[in-house]
Amino acid sequence: MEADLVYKSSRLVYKGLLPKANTEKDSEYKDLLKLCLSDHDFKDSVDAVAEGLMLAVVDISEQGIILTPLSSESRFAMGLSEYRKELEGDSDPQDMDAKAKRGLIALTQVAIAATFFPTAEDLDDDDYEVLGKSAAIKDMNTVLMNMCDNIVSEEDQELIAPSLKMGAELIKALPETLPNAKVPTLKYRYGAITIIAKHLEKSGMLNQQKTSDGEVYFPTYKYQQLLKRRSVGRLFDLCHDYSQTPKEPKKHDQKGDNGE
Amino acid sequence: MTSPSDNPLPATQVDFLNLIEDSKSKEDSRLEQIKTKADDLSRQVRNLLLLYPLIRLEYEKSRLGPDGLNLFRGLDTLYLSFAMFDYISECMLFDLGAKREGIIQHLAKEVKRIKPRLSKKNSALASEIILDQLCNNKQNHQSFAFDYFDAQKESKMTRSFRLILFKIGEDDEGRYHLTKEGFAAYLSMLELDTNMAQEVDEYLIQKLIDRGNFEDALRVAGRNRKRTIELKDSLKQKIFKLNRDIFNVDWQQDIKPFLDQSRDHIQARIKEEGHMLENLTDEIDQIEVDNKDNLLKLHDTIHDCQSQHRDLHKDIMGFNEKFLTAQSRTFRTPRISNLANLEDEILPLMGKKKVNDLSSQASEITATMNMPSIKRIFDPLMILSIIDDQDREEQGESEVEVSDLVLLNNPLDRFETKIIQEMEAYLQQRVAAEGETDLKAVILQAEAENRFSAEQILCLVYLSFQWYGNSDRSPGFQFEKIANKKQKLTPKLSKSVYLSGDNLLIKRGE
Repeated sequence: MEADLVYKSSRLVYKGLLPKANTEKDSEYKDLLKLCLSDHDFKDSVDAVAEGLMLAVVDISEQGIILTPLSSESRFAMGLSEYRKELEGDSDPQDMDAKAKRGLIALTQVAIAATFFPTAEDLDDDDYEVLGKSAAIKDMNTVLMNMCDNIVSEEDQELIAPSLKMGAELIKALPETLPNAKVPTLKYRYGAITIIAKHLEKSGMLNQQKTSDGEVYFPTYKYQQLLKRRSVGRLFDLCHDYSQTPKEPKKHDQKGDNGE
Repeated sequence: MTSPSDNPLPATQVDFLNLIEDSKSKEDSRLEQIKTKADDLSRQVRNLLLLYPLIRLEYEKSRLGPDGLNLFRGLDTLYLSFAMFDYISECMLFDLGAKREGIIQHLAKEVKRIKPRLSKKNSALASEIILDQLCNNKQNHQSFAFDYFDAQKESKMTRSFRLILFKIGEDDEGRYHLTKEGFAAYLSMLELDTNMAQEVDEYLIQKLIDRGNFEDALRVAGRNRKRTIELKDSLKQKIFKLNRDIFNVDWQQDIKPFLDQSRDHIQARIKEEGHMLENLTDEIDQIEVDNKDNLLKLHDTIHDCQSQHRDLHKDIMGFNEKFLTAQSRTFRTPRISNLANLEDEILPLMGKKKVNDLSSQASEITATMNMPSIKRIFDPLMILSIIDDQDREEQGESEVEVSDLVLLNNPLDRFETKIIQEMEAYLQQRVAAEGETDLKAVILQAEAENRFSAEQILCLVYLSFQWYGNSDRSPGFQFEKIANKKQKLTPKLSKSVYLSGDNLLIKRGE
């Protein structure tokens, strides 16, 4: 019985690790979720398996299980190496330095999230109204640029090293797009936003659709829950430099990490 | 000895001293004035910076273009730069900006005027180079940034600006625009104030309307279309903002004046277009068959503009309803949330962070904002490499990140076919000469010959490594790794296990 419980729990965690696992197409996944929602012991077991793997359970519903790495130290934590191709220097001697590229990726991720969920109310909106709102790359660029315009003054700046400039200044100096740009790169804002948005789509957090207005993205329930229960709290800490991260899991303490 | 107080000076001497004192203070104030004037120079210096890109282009022109072609010899790039500004500003007046092809075509004509013997292709190339240089393509189209001394602040400052901006318009097409700074540079040479740009604009339009022929009418219609598209864009932006954050939208301040203004503009346009269409219909009826085509074309264009205006009018009239629907959210009982607002509380704080800090927190931000990811491993050597890296990381030796594994595309894609062929031929030549050699020796020889770039030598290394890994693809070479006797096989792999140049033997294949 015990072995069966462990097997099923780890199976559910495994399904949660698959970016596009779908309950409609996978009856085993559907059954495991039903079991998890009705059986407390099973739910505890799933939590324990996840915790052992340095993962935290963000949400369980009939739509799926949402997991997140317990900290950036977890082997499951998505690292910047996912953007290795973009971060690698090319033969262009004027290419941005690595720090600037990393900073750009970080800021763009936050701006995309802010495009879909500008307020806490939007994150708490459980009736899915907010999930029906689409945004195009252009809209994400608007949000990013509004922030930059509010921060970076029109005045000339003191002469300082590029790495000591504000992130907003870095973004503002970038061109919006490039003539003849074929592949999105970090050298222009539309390129950077497209790279991140495509990645979010690949991991099931955004859905892309073609409309008469061009390509637009819709946020998914998964994205909303991850931001609500995990990311926003952590980002707030990072903004205020409360940088302690949980290194080792404390058993059954995930809720504290979920920002609840 | 007596002190001056014991022996007062005669009155004339005192007057003289006062005079000296007076002239000293006058001198001081004159110096002060000069200093203030010098401080004012910062403004002139700042404005002069706007011309730097143009002057730099003229100065560096002999180095631009394909080697040996002397494309820019005899070309006045200052004139061409202003001709380009002139063209873009005109396109901004009657269209949504200037298209790349349009600019190049226009500039190529000017290039031809200066240097008639230049071919059509090279004129276009010169035009393209001028456009790209003034967009700062040297630095990946980032803003220009020049340093200057600010006398009032007594410190060095940086002025960043763009002269020309490339952006995607509402119709998803990229166009060039003159920026505020671009206009300042352009108009200052015309001895006009930047603020006059608007008046110049209106004056031009009036002049066109006064002339009253249909060609001009079409251009005016085009301009109105531009304003309509701009309005459409603003309306879209407002709806976007409304949908996202209804709490921060003020109907009285943000929406109502905009709607009133837009409605008035659109209604006036529809009315005006109606009159134009009426006149045109009469004209078409009266005119001879030969000239009818042009008029019919104009009729269709105006008719198209009118229907676009009608659609926009409908959108504007329906805006109230959209606002009310969105507003229903504000009547709900607000939930008590301990979450911060992403847009106005978190994003600005992130934007204010220094690039250095953002860079060091980037991994953490990426980890927290993404789903768990499963690292991909493609072959057993990669597992060993990960273990090795992780081991080093734990000992705090590694400065780089743990190397997560990704699928590599063909690394040779980064090289041009011509380079690949050249290096393949060179390797053939070396192997033929030496019979048997190693990669390090080939590299040293190539460097000594001083006729290959670093990129070409890198291509040679990539080629050798790829052929070593896949002997079927190697064209007539045989690669062999020389075993190192000192090497011990331990679970922790030392670097000598890998190909390092001097252990890769290259000989003629069978």
